[in-house]
Amino acid sequence: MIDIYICEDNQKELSLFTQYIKDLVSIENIDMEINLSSSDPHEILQAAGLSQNVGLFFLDIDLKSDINGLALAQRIRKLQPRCFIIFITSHSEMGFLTFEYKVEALDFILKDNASRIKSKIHECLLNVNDKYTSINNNIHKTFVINQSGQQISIDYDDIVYFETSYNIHKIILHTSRRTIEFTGQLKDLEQQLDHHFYRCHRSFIINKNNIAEIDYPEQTVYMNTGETVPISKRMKKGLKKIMG
Amino acid sequence: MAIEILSNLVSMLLYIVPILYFLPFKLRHFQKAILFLLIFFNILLIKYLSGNIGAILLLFTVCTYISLIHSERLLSICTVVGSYLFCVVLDNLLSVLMQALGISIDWIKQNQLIYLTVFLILQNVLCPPIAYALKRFLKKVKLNFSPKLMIMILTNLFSCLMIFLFNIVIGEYIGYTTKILAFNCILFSCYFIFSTYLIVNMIQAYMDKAQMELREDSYQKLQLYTTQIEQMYSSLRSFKHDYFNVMLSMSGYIDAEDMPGLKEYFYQEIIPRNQKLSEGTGKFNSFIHIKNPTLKGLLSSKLNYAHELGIKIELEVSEDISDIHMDIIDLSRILGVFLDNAIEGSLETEMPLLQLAVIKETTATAFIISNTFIDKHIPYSSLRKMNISTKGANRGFGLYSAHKILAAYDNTFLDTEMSEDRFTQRLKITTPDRKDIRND
Repeated sequence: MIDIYICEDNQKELSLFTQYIKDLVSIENIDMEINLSSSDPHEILQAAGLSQNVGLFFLDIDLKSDINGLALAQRIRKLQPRCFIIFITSHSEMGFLTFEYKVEALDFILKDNASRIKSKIHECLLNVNDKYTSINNNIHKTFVINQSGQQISIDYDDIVYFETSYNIHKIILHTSRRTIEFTGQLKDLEQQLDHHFYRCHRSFIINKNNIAEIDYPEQTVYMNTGETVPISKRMKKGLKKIMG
Repeated sequence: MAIEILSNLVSMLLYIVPILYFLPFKLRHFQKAILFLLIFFNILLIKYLSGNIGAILLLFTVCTYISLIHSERLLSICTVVGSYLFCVVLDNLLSVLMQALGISIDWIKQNQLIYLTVFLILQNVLCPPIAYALKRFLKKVKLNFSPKLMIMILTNLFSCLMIFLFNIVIGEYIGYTTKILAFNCILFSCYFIFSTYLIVNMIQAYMDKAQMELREDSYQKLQLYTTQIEQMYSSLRSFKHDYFNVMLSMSGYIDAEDMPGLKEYFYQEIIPRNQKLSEGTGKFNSFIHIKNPTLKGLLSSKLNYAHELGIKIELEVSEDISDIHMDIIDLSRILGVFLDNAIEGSLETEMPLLQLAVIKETTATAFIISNTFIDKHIPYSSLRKMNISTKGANRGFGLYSAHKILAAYDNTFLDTEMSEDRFTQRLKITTPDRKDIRND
C-alpha cells in the first residue's frame, strides 16, 4: 500500500489534483490511497512521520509558507528514505535536474495545461506502482556514497567493480549504467565490503556476481558489462579459490 | 681487487642516483633491483669490453626498461638521458675543479674510489633541489604539455647526448687530453642549458598565447550574450508598447459587453503574442545567476549554438553561482567537452533535448548536463579512454583530456549516468574545508 500526499497552496489546484489522482487510482485499480491533501507543509510532514507505509508525494515548490517545496522534500526524504517525490510546479528556474539531484525526485510536472497535467499524473502513478512492486520483491543491500553532505545509494548487486582513479584520493565505482567518483582508499573499502567482492589487483575490486568469464592465463576478468579488469599474479590464486 | 669491485659498485650508484631522483614517479623495490643489475652489467661491459661506446647500450637498455614500466614514455626517456648527461657534466666539472685545486689526474686515477665517493656525495647534495625544481616545473606545465614540445626537448637532449658521446669516444681515439675533453663537455653543457632555457621560454610564450586566445574567445562569447540580452530587452520594450494598446482594445470589447468578440481577440491576438514573448525572453534568463564572465560566455554560446541546431534547451540556475573552487579555464574546458558531446549525442535522436543545471549547495557547486541519446551500449569506462568514442575511430580525445584535467583535483567528483534514452554528466565541485587545506 502506498500513501499519497499532495501539498499545494492554491486551494483550487489542490482540489483539482486531488480529484485527478482519486479518479486515476480507482480507474487503474492500484494499491494506493490519498492519505492527506493539504496546503500546509507542516501537516504533510507530521503525517509522513506517523505513517508506516511508503509515501508518494506531489509537491508544489512555492508554498507561501516558511518552507518551500524543495526544503519540504528534503525533510520528507529524511523521514522516508525510500519514498517517491514528484513536483508539480510552474517555477521556471528550477527544473527536473535540480529536483533529481537534490531530493532524487522521480518526476516533475509543469503546470501548463490541464489535460497534460492529468496525463502526466497518470504516467507517474503507473511508474511509481511499477517501481514499488519491483522493489518489494527483493530487498537489496545498498552501498552508500557520501559526497559532502549528499548521499548516493547504489544496490550492491548493481556494482560491477571499483577502480582507483588517476587521482590517488579518489575511487571510481562502476555499475552497468553509471560511473561515480568518490573520495576513499581501496584498502579501507575492501574492509567495508562483504564476501561478494574481491580485490583482484592493486587498483581493482570486483563483484564476483557480475563476472562473465575469467581468463587466468591472460590474467583478465571479463565482467558481464563487457569491461575487462586485470588480475595481478599474486591475487590469481585467491580468485581461483573463491570462484571454486 | 676488492677496491676495484667497490669502485664499480660506486660508479653504478653514480648512474642510478640521479635517475631515481629525477624520475617523475617512484619505482618499486624489485624494479629498483632490476635497474641496478642492468646498470651493473653495462658498467662491467664498458669497463672491460666495449669502452666508452658501451654507454649507448647502457642508455638504450635503461631507457627501454623504464619506458616499459611507466606509461609516460617520452618523459621517462627524457629523464634517463638527462640524468646521464647530468652525470657526465658533473664528472667533468669535478675533475676540472680538482685539478684547479692542484690535485693531479694521476692521483685521481690511482685513488679512484675516493674520487667516486666525493662524486657520489656531491650528487646526493645536488640532486634533491634539482629534482624538486624539476617536479614543480613539470607540475606547472604538464597539463599544457603537448607531445610536440616534449619531442622538441627530447631532440635537443639527444643531439646534446650525441655530441657528448662523439666528443668522448672520438676524442679518445684522436688523442685529446682529458683537459680538452672536460673543456668540451662543459662548453656543450653550457650550450645545452642555454638551448633548453630557450625552449622552456618558448613553451611559456606558447602557454601565454593559449591563455590569451581563451580570454579573447570568452570575451567574444560574452559579446554574443550581450546582444542576446539586448534583443530580449527590445522585445520586452515592444511588448510594453503593445500592452497599452491591448488593454485599450480589450476595454473596448468589455465596455460593449461583446463577449464573443473579446474571446476571439484574446485567443487570436494575445495568446500567440504571449508565447512569442516567453520564447524570446525566457530561454536564457537564468544566465543572470552565473557571475563568472568566462563561464557565462561559454555556457551561453554553447547553448545558443545548440538552440540554433534545433535542440530544445532547458536551463536551470536558481541561485547565484560565484565562487567555484576550480581553475576557471580547466572548468570551461571540461564543460565545453561535455556540452559538445551532449550536442552531438542529442542530435542523433528524434527529439533532441539538452538540459543544463547549475546548482549551488552549502559546500559544493554542481554542474549537471543531460541529453537525449541513442544507447550504443559502450561502457563509459571505455569511452573516456583515448581514441574511443561513439563517433568512430580517432575521435574521442575530449573525454580523455577532460578526465586528465579532473584527475589533478581532489575536490571534483564526476558522476556519469546512462539510462535508456538519457546521458547525464554530474560534476560536483566541493569547497575544500579548512582541514583539507592544512593537509595539502
